[in-house]
Amino acid sequence: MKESIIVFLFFLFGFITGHFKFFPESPIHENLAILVIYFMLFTVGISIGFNARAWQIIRALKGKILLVPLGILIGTAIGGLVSWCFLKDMLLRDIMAIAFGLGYYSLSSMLITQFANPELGALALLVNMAREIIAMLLAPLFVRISGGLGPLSVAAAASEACLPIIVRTSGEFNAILAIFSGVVLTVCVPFILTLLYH
Amino acid sequence: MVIELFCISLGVPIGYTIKNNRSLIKVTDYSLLWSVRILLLLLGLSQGSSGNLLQQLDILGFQASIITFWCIVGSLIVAKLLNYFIYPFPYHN
Repeated sequence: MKESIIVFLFFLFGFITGHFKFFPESPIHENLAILVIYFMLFTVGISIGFNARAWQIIRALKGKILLVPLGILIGTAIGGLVSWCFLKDMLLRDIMAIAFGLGYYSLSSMLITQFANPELGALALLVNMAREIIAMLLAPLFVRISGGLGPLSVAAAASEACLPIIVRTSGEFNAILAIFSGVVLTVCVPFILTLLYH
Repeated sequence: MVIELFCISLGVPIGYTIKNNRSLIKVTDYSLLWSVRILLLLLGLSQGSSGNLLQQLDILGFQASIITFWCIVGSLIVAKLLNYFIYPFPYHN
């Protein structure tokens, strides 16, 4: 939990400095973020390589490995349905579309803005960004609650920004599952959103 | 997605090659740790500097928190069931 607090403090520091414009707004931040993500993924690859035996997971699970992304889709759908019970003023379709952003905030918010309206796009951005941030901050707690697959609940984002924290909290074995699940779910996002709105 | 997969694929053989070198494993662990911290710092920076999002946060915050909470809860429940039913390995730390 100590690491989660440290990571949150880094986020908070960034938020405060950004809000009070201590640093000039610059596209360098975005480019740097992309570079950091690429570097992280490279490091994650190295971590996976340390434990070559992890590849036995995919072979051992065979078709069962598909149950991981399928399970996250089902869990997200259940979450969307329960949310609708609390947000009756919203359309179920809109809530499901936002939920099925699956943590892939950049693509989902853009698509929902195009398919529906900018307000829903902003909501998709908030929800999916929050999902990723919460997963990064609370990954150790998720491991305690749901075991090694817990942090994978960030869904599509699990294959990108959240992988390092998954490696640290769940281990390389689950990181392999996270990559597979993340890739499958990332591909699913545009298909599901298109299906919902057409 | 292609670049992301390429970055991971590039690291795997390197990791396999240096898997017995404890000092390099330690360096890799620290690199992961600090890259997560730097990414969160940059994420906070972009969120904080986005005035629009901060305004929308007041309006959409309630809806967003409900959807986020229940989606994560739903996924965690299913993840727990998956651990019990299909996952043959104990979680590795």
